[in-house]
Amino acid sequence: MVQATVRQWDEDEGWGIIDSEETPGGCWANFSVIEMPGYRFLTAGDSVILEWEAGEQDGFDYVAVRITPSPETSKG
Amino acid sequence: MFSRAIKRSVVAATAAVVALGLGAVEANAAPWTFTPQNPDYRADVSGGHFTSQIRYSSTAWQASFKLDAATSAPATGTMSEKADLYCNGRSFMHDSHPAVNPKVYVIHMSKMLEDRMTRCNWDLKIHETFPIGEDGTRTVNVDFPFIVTLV
Repeated sequence: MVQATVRQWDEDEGWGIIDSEETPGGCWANFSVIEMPGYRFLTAGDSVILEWEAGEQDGFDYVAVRITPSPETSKG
Repeated sequence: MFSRAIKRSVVAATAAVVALGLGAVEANAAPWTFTPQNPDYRADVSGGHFTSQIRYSSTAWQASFKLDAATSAPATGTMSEKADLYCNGRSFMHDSHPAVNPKVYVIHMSKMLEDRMTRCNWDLKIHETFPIGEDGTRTVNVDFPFIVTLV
């Protein structure tokens, strides 16, 4: 797990890019791995806890496997 | 309750049928209903984890499916994937990826449903195949019928 920041999020398509020290170039993220009830989304600039794995996803080398919004940015 | 909406999700191999969690199969399951109070769906189904949600403010529909480790572990090559969304039986969206890594790739799709959002009986069908062993093929099918209501 690593502290990370949401670089961009497409709310209509349900995916975005998250930056952290452990994922140079960015980590691809899908709404399905966001830990929150109901409709799931993030906003650029949000602080999150990121769990990731190495992968090949839409031009990125890292894929998020769990995203937990930080309490101060929690939308749940 | 979640398993009701996944009408059919079967993992099969040419050499031998591999049935994973067939308890989720229900031949005549009622469609899942999205409402403003319940705009999301999440379920572990045969072969992986499926999610879908509606952004009511824009009519955007989103869905994703990722194979679980047990299903993708025997893969010996890349996966071919196609997904089709039907509105009242007629094709509304098609998505495909010819060569992705089945062990990590997240199948994802989205579409603006616009004025059809509440008028259609929707049905999403996902079909994935990848090689296993020397000459086998594993196939994963997911069928997700759903409707969208405003109340």
